[in-house]
Amino acid sequence: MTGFSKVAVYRQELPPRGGFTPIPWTRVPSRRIPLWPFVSLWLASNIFGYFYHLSEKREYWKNEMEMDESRSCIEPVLLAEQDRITLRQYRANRDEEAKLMSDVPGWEVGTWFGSKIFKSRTYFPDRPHVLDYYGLARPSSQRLDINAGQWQI
Amino acid sequence: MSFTKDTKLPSYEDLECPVVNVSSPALRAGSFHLAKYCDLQFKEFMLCRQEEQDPRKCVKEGKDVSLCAIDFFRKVRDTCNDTFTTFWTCLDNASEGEMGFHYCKKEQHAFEQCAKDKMNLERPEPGYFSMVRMHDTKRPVPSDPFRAGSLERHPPKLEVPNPPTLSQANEYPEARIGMKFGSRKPWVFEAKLWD
Repeated sequence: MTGFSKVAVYRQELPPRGGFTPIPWTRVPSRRIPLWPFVSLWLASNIFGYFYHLSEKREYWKNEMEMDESRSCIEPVLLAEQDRITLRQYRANRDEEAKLMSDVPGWEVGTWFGSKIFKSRTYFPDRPHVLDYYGLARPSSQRLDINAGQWQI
Repeated sequence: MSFTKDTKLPSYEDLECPVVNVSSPALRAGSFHLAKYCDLQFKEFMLCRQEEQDPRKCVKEGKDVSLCAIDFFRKVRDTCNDTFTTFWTCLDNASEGEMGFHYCKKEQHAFEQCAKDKMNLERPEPGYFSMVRMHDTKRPVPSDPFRAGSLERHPPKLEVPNPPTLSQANEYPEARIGMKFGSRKPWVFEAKLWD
């Protein structure tokens, strides 16, 4: 056809000078680190750790024993004081009950209108009993009595 | 509440005794030396408590215990006060209120050294107080010796006669027939045991 006097200017995408960089196509195996240092470290920590754990256990139980022994050393002091406190309270409770129920007909102190709690032989509580100690106390005084939580029961 | 007029409770005068006015970390701090110092009184009291199982019968021994403890702490205050105070304040400040000894080893060693030097009190070895200890007393055996050391607190006293002696047992019908104090085959012969 006619009228092709002007040539269109274009830029062609060509490979760079010197050609393309070579494509790595060979196999590249992954980086490997040796396993034996880790395994040996783990085994050594196991072995040393076992013996260290045994020594720590011994130390722990020694400390526990010491604490238990100190508690059993102190026990007689606390028990003696506790006995005296409870005996005093029992006496006060009995007197108070006698005072309270003096005008109730048929009531004997320590019984339910004459019928005893322990029928055949008398029983004295070895350790403090809640009802015997707090029998005539109001609930607020039960809560305020902090030392009773330390009693040897 | 279950105490009638008949139960004997000690009077207020019998129960009067000075109080061991010492806080709990101080008690724990001096526990080993206290048990060594008051060994006799403690053992008497605990033996009485275990045998009689009645606090009314052990009031005197309890008073001895308290007086001995007060005496010990007075002695400590007179001689080893500084080391003892540092020790029990250290125990008081131990974490979580445990009063564990492993937090205060240094102060413990200092107090033990002071007790050994000034009070001639050596703390026994760590396992001493866990072991069973024997005690010799002049106190008479309690009224019911079969109750001593039993796990049951108040085993019933059965009104049964004494078991027969061996010579008596040979005249029983069971012996003549062939059954004597639990043989393996109780019905050996077919015979009348009692008429």
